[in-house]
Amino acid sequence: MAGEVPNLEASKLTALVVDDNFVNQSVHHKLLDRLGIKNDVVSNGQEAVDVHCSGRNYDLILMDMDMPIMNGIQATRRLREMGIESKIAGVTTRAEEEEVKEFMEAGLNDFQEKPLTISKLVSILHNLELYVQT
Amino acid sequence: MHISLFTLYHSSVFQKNLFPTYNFILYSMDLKALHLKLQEMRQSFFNEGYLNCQYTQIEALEKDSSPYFIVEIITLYFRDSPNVIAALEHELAREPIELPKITKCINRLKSSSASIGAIKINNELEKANILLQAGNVEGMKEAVRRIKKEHSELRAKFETYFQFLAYSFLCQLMRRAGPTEQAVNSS
Repeated sequence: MAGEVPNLEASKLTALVVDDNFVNQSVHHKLLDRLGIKNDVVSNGQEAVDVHCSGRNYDLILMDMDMPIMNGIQATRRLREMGIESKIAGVTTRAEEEEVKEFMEAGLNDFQEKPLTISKLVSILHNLELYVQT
Repeated sequence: MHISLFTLYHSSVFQKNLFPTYNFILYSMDLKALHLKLQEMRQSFFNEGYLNCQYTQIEALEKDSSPYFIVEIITLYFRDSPNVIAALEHELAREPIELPKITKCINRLKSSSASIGAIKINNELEKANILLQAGNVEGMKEAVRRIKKEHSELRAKFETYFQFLAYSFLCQLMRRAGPTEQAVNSS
């Protein structure tokens, strides 16, 4: 990782990792931990919707595209219909223009191609105005 | 209390996460030689094109240079990926093949392989995807054989590397624990 890793603990940001892949869940969770961002992990879009229905709210949602039960596009659409205004960043290995367009139109604020790294995550936070680089 | 290296090993995090226990004949290596060997082995993953810089990103996520996290991630990968490969083979054996199901398997494997930096496996998955989109089923089957080969080679390399890593880490723990005392028979 080039450069200093920012510590955003004082900002009290919270995030939700939505991914059905255990490796990605662990990596994304750890990436957010490393930045000092408290985060929860769920395994599919339906669980992401359920966790919001239970009253939880997050500053940032990292949303995978391909998931069982409810995929990222469906979950993003559903969350926006529910009035959830959290910043949602789509993260997926699938980066064909048509697929990205459909994902963005579902209600994403940003999109990053996997694999996620600290610098890509900082870029997401910067793009979504959750972190201002000094 | 006499501290047994193997007692430490069996109680360490590696035991519940790691691949089968190996015969440690490594104790004859001094620590400096062990560290050099470890560096060599780690570098060979990159020199031989198995891993890319994504792997170092994951290593660097552990603040105190503990190997626990990378071992955990790689173990998770090798727990899940054989099932995905098996599912892929199963789908390819169907007639007629169902393209969306095969695509799903490929994407799942691509996602986790990319996350750990397994570039050789990912390259084979890209080739497999191109063949799939062209409707070349026989080509796909050959591609899956290559994916399995790369997967098994990477796994074997990690098994050996983690064996050395576990031993090195245990030696460090023992050093920190200080000198051991021989148990004295009270009778």
